[in-house]
Amino acid sequence: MPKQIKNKKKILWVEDEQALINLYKDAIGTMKNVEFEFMQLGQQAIDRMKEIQEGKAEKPDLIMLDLLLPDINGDKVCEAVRNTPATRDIPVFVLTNYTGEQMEDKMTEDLNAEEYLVKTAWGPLKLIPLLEKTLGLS
Amino acid sequence: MAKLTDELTSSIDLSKIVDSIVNSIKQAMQLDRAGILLIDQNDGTINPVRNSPPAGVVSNGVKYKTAKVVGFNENNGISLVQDNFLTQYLQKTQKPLVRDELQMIAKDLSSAEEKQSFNQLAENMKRIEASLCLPMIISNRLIGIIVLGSKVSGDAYTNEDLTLLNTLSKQAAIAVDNARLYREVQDFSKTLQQKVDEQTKEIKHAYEVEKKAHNDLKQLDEAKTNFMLVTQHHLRTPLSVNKGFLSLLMGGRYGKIPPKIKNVILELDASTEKEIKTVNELLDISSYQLGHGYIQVKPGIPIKSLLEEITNDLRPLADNNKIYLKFENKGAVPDITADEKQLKMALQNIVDNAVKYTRQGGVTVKLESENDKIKIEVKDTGIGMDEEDKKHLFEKPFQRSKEAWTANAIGKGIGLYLSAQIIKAHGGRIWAESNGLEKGSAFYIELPISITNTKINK
Repeated sequence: MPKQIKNKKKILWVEDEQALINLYKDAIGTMKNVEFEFMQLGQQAIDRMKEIQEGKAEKPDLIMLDLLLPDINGDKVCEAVRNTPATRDIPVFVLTNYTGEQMEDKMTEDLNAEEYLVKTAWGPLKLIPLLEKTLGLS
Repeated sequence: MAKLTDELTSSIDLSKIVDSIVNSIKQAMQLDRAGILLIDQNDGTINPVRNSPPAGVVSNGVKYKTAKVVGFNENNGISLVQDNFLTQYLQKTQKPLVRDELQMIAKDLSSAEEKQSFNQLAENMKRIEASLCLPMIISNRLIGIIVLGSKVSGDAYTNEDLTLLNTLSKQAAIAVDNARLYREVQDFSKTLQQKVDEQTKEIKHAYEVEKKAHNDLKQLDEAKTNFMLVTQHHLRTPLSVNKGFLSLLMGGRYGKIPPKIKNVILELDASTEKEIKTVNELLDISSYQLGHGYIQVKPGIPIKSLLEEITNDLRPLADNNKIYLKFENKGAVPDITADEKQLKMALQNIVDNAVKYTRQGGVTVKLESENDKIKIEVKDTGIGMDEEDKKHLFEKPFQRSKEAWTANAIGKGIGLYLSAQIIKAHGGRIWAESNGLEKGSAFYIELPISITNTKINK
């Protein structure tokens, strides 16, 4: 059993809005071989990167990242991901309702986020196939 | 003496020069006393000499100052040598005046008044114990007098002494004059530097004020932008929740939906979608008004495919409204220089608008090129416009057509204003025609095929 769990793909999902967490949980329930972990604070995610670096936590295969968070904004989280050797290569999908050319450029060009997705345009049913494709599940 | 000559020609400090002259003559000639009186050329405004006693006698408006005296009893009033008659005499003769010779000169004079003056001068010199007065002449102008006492030995001045002293007084005059000129230049430079400093300070201050104002504006601008960005996040988040759950409901994620409820969900979904569009438009226009609506043009934008894409995107909406949406392309149309994203948004708004306001018939989009321009026509058979509406069509948001309020269409005011702004930013033109209410409308857009950056409103 533990081996099987280890073979599952792992997504770290940083999202503060509880209603959206509920929505995504409902939507991804159908996905197989994927494990999800939701975090509602930017600091939690930054701490996690440190733990991964120290070998205390498992490295996710993908990070879903909201930008406007209650404590530390998503761009800082992405900086931590990119500045930590052990997490540097994890794909980061920004999933936010925050748009603005400056921020989009910063995230995709400076911080090499793989995708910049706007929530109103990327509903759960559109999102699931993208996640499956990215994780090599489809 | 050679040392003095050296000093006189090299030194330009006035008080040092005066000191040198007085001390050197006194020492070299072994005199009991020596002094220099200088004409105060600055009329007392700048005091060139240290240790000056109060200004001397005023004669012909010329003030003398005792530059330096050594050995004279000032209580006897050395300033009495500042005699109008003496200065005039020295100016005239430009030669050393020996006190012992005064009476001899006076003897030869015919005028009783002159005799009297000479006798008076001799007496004055005697009282202050001055034996010799040397004129200091520059360009035939008396600038000062070297007043000397007697030799300590009691000997009289020899002719050699007088020749030497005469030469020396000429050099002293040049040195003093140079020193004064130098000081004047220095003062002038100092004043000039002061003025430059003052003005620099003023300019710096003005710059600081300007910079602060600029920073304040920038901060305000940034605050507004941040406010808008955060607001859009908050406006969109509940909409994404609604839209997301509705899509799961419709997709059967929570079980089979009875047809009646499915219709309700479709209504909810459609209205959520409308709201998302409105919010997007509102944010677009806000960011445009905040001054961040700038365009970044690139050449090679395929305007034909752009319009095809727009009409294809909107065809489902037209089908739903049971109207036609056609795209016609007249001849070959070249690619244009444009900001693809923004131009697409502008054109999409206009076509979208036409589709929404048309309840029967349909919309035709035509594209053609003419010389250095491309022309787009969006013609509908919709609600039309009266003259009043036409006037305000592209004006600021929320001044939209009165009729539009009844047409249950969203965002017309916002969309058209924004479209017009973007087209103008591309150096293009937009206008509308209508034969009146219920008689359809036509929107015309002209865009230059290539534009330079100078035409873009930033």
